[in-house]
Amino acid sequence: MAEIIPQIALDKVSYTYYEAEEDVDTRKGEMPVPKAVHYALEGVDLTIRQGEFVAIVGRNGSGKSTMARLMNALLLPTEGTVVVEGISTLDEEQIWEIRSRVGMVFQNPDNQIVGSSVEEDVAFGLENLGVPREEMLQRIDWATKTVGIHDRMQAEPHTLSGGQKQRVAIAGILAMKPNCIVLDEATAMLDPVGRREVMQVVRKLNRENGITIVHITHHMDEVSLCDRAILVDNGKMVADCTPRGLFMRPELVRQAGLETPPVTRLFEQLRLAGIDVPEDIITPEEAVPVLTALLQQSAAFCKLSAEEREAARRRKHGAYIYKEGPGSLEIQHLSYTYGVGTPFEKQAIEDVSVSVGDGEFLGIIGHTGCGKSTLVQHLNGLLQGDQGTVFLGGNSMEGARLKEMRRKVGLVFQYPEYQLFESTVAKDIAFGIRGEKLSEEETRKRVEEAAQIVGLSLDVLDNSIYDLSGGQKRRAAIAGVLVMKPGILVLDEPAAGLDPAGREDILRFCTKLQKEQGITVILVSHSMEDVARLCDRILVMHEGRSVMLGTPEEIFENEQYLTEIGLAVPQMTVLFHRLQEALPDRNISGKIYTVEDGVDEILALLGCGGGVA
Amino acid sequence: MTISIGQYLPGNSVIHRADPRAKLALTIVYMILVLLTHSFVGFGLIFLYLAGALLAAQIRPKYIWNSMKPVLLIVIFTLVLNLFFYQGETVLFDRWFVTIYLESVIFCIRMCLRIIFLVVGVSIVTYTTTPVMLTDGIEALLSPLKVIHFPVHEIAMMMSIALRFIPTFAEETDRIMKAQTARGSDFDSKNLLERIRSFVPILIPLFISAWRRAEELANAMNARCYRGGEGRSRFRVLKLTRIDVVMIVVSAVFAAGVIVIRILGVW
Repeated sequence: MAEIIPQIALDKVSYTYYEAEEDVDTRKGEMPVPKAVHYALEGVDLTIRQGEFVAIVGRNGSGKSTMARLMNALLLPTEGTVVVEGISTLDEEQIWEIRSRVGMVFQNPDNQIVGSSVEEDVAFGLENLGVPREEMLQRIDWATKTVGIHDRMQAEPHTLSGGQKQRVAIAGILAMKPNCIVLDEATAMLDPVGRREVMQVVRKLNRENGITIVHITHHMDEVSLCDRAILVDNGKMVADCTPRGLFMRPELVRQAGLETPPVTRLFEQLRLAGIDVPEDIITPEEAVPVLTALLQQSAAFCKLSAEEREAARRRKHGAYIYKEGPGSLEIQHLSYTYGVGTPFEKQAIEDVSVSVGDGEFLGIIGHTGCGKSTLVQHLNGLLQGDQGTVFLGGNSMEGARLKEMRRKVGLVFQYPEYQLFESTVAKDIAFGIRGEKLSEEETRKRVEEAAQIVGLSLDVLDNSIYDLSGGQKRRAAIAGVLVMKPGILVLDEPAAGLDPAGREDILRFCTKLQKEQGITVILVSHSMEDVARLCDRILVMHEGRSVMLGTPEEIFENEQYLTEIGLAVPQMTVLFHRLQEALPDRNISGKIYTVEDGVDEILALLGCGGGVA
Repeated sequence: MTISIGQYLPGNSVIHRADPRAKLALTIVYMILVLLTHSFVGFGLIFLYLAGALLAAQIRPKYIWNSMKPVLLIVIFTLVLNLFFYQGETVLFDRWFVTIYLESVIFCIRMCLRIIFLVVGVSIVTYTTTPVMLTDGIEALLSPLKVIHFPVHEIAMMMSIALRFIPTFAEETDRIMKAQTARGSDFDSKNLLERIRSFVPILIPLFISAWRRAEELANAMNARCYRGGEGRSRFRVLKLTRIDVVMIVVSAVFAAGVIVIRILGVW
């Protein structure tokens, strides 16, 4: 057997940073005294071989990005060594050699494109390496074709989608002919379409060009595309196995703040219920034959029909009833066009009519560019439609009352943490109520209330906003909207870029606000799983129009249509639709979209009490 | 949201295709000539040259007017000021406190012509050259300064990164403004002080974001082996073509004409 070359080897690597003592006057030449030593990584041993496709997973702040940056000498280890193809990253002379062999794609698509057009950006690395122009042109041509961006060679970066930008970044690295590409959370800020594009490209590079891929992520569905999964938590490597092996240890995954795929969770719950099913099922395709066989073996027969079971589940979830009230929104024939009269004129939404009930939890889905973000900006009058009207609690949103009405609709933008600006967390949260002329105590009380809702510890309120972690900043920003006590809360992808635990926290308090305080919540999301589980009704947008509005079960029944317009349905729905097709005579319900309902349905079909009855 | 950068008007005229170095160098020569010119015959010659350039660049009159608008106030101001305060010999008009001399009228006309010729001339270049090409041209023209360790490459890189990020920041400004409006910021308050204060919640996040972007971009450039201008090859290469040769010859003939007129002292 030929010896396999280790491409990247981490030997007992630790990376530490110091928190400096504050009260030191550096002007007097005093050296900052380290107050505490933080281990971002501690004693990591890892060997990555040529041609591997490795996923490094872990929650935000687990040290996974540090690990990536050690691999191309952007960071140098505090202890231990990192050796890339036989060269230590501590060897300063060889640093550029290492970086040309190990390319890196970063998280934010906007902040890594240097060139003012696609071809120029792809050329950037080649210029740095001093590649002659003739060869440069050939390599650019090859790289852009490989990632499928060849038809946009002259395009300016800001006209590209997130997925396209990341592919440009990959092409820029590919042209440098690296042996390894490290993707440092390169899919975290992308929509599902963009994520799919990027994953397809890197998979192809791995399979066809033999390029080693190290993919840092917290999206578990991407992990199942890799050959090897490394789980990092708290600076330590806690697992190094196949993706399947990782998903077979759900407890470990959960402890590390992540989650296993819905299908794996379904099987886990079935085992807990005493059904003998295998542990290593990670995709719906694998699950269908297993469940088909299981159902065929069982002679049991469910007493209730599929419709009766569905009705019972509806009773359990609480059927949605539309009601009018101060928190109801009525959108009538709304149209909006950007840049009227300029060459860039573009109709963003067209004749959208939707009624949102008082206290409803409405989900809005649709892929990037479908007009979701434009629509929600009309809900508090930030944009005024060219045609059509928005009514809030029966009053139209325009004219003199607009400012007052705007306060009733709290709008949380995507990545709201970027809008923080005050010196302390408390001051920033209070920004929205500064006009209410409240006393200091009252203001403080309102701020604390808002902080409590979002789960922000009261201890951090007087800290600087820069001392907060990413997730805490997000919460502080949302608190800054909640402090105004809006009757309607609109959130544009509030969980974007957060790990599963962080996402869960944010969605939990949204649900709590809706359930306990009767606030109308409108959630724009890319996660079908989330909207299916949380929302009373779902609005589907496509090319500026509202194409569907209904309860999750009504919407997700249309798997084929949703797939056609580039959306997906929850994994559970896919599974049960396939099961229905495999066993048409078993009366299986196709209206399943959460793991709980899935378990329930399988148990009922097996005649095991059938939970709902 | 789509944003156009600079004043560039897309097109494919000979002037659009000309080498930015040639265009920039000729602009400098042109500016010197305009400032040297004294006589109306000379101005006539410059006018012909300018008209020829405008025709060749296929720029519509509307855009010439657009480029004039911002300097109109300065022109009028200069005109009025000089008309009343320039002292001469031949009195044209004398009533109340106002005395206007013939010399001052001529002087004013000269001044105005110079300003107009300068503005229109420069705007032909900005209308026909993309910001990226302009940067390249400036870099090439400044490159002799490398001998005295002037950071030519670095300045050019800074300029092109700045250009690249203008649309990104425009979008970001829009988003932050909307977010703060949603939290009750009022950007069209009648009170000036209020209005200035209302921009703090926009400027601070923008500033922070610029830092963050700069840091990330520096990392990304580092990871792609950027280490300054030394040993770099170039993707965009500037090449002088026949268009440039023709342009330079025509300009040289014109320049000679203007200089001769100046030396002979023709009116």
